[in-house]
Amino acid sequence: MRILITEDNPKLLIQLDTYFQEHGFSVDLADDGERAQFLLSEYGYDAVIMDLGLPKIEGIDVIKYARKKNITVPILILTARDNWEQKVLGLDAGADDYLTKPFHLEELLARIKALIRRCAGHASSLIKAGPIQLDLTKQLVFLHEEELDLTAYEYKVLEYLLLNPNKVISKTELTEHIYDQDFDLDSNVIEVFVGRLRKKIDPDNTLKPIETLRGRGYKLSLVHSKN
Amino acid sequence: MWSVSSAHYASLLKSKETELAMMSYVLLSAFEINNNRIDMPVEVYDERLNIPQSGYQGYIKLNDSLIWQSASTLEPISSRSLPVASVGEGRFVVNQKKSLFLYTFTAEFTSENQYIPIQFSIVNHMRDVAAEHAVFTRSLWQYGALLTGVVALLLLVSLLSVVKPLQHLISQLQEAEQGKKRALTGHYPKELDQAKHSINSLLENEDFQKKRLQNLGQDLAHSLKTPLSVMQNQPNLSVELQQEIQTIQEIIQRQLKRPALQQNVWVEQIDILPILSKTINSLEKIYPHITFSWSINSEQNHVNTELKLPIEQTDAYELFGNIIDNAAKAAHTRVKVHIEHENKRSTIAIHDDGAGIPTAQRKNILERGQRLDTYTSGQGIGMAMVSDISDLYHAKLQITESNLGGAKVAVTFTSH
Repeated sequence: MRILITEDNPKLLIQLDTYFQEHGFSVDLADDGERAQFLLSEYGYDAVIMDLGLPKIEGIDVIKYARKKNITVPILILTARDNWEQKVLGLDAGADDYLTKPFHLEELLARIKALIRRCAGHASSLIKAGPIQLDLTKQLVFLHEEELDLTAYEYKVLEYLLLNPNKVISKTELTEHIYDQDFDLDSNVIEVFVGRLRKKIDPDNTLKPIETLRGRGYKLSLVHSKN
Repeated sequence: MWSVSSAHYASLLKSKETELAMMSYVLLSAFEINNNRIDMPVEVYDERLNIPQSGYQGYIKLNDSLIWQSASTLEPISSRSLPVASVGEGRFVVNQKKSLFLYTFTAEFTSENQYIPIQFSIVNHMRDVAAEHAVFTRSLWQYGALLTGVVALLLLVSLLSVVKPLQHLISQLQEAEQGKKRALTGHYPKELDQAKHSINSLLENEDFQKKRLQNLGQDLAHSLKTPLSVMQNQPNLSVELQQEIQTIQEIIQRQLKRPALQQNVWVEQIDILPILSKTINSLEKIYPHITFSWSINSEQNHVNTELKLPIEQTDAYELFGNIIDNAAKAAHTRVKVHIEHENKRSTIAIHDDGAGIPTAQRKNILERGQRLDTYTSGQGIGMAMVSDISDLYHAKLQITESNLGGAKVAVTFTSH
């Protein structure tokens, strides 16, 4: 999952970057509203953490800009402004959740995960697709209720495919969502991860869950059950 | 009025005296004594003494005996009734009892070397003078009354022209007090215009000070909360330090908002329906598993589209935002906002289908500053704010059981 964190306090920005990377997210950072607006318009994110009081462009205006440009990414406002009028104003502008400072990183992580899940149409943190079950909270994957041993990047690829079932995902899109923005997009590591995943989630090669569409990308075609 | 009437009557009497004196001279000029014989014509120069019932009678008296009476005399009066005057002098008498003016002039005539005093008397009925005086008096009173009326009207008009701007000012002040206006408008006389500007400046200044205080609180809170977030999320933070950070956080949350909670002298009424609607729409995003609904019960149709309450917008968001948010936290699946409006009373009740609030705990929630961590996280500070805001606007806050199964928190505003 790739997220954008917008925060003008450098210490908090580094803290958030470190924490979310530790929890398997690819993180882009913006310390002012102008950069946040640029990144939002240039890259696709799975979620955005947005401070309101930002230099150059106010956070609320960045949110309005994103919604005006039909950028549907879930946005969580993380701010010290705790008045209800401001909360309503932020949510009314297009944000999806609101968390006031000071906060616990665990709560922020849980809310971001819930937002991503809700945005993908899953009410529960458990995603089931055929014999595969993925726990978004614990970041665990089960095959026929047996836990699979996946690397962090293998997990990220499978999580993104499961959150976007029956949808063609290009290698570029997949790369963008599992790596930071400065990753070399010509790398063929995605093919390696997909190959490894296929072996792990379909060792008998009977399910063929991940379909390769030549020149277009990958598609996860297993039947989903939404919770 | 009385003195004018009396003066007029006195003037009439004087004029009558002169008139009767002149008539007595007519008798005097016609009277002659020749060789002890009185010579007096039947008719005299003044026709009023010749025509019967003219109202004038002439008499000539010698030694208490009437020796002549005018042709106008039909019913002669007693000679004793005639006034007596000294020789060479006239005497005027008003006999109110008989309604008569009487005048006598006494002159001496010589006859055979003797001086004979002769009295020439004129009698006139008072009715003409009384009638003239009555007409005058009536006219005087009529004009007096008219003048009084005109003066009173002028006074009233001038009084109204002075009082009307004052009444307008008072009515505007009342409207402002009731929250229907935020500033005084309209044109006033110079003296009141100054007062209007002063009151408006006072209101503007009050608004400015309140906003300034709010901004100061927010800026201070903002500058403290971000470093607190960094501190709070440091790895391996001791429990003691975590508790201290939590305490600082609560102080910031409550105390920095408290100074902003100052009611203006006059609070403008605002429509709270958009506030409730926006708050519910926002919370629907945060709590997608909760179904929010709202209903209005009022005999007044306009309440379905507008419900005005005397509360600042920021405080209304804070009040209802906190209550509905708490309800959503406590609810299993449903939160209902119900508005009841009758006459001057508006109740906004927020229901949830959660576990409810135990009776013993309800009082604590309503007590200012009381923490209630045991109900649901975030409840303590939020409900303390709700309690503070309700107190500020003299709104009644009640916690009971909801028909949805959970708690019902109702805020009642009564307008005066």
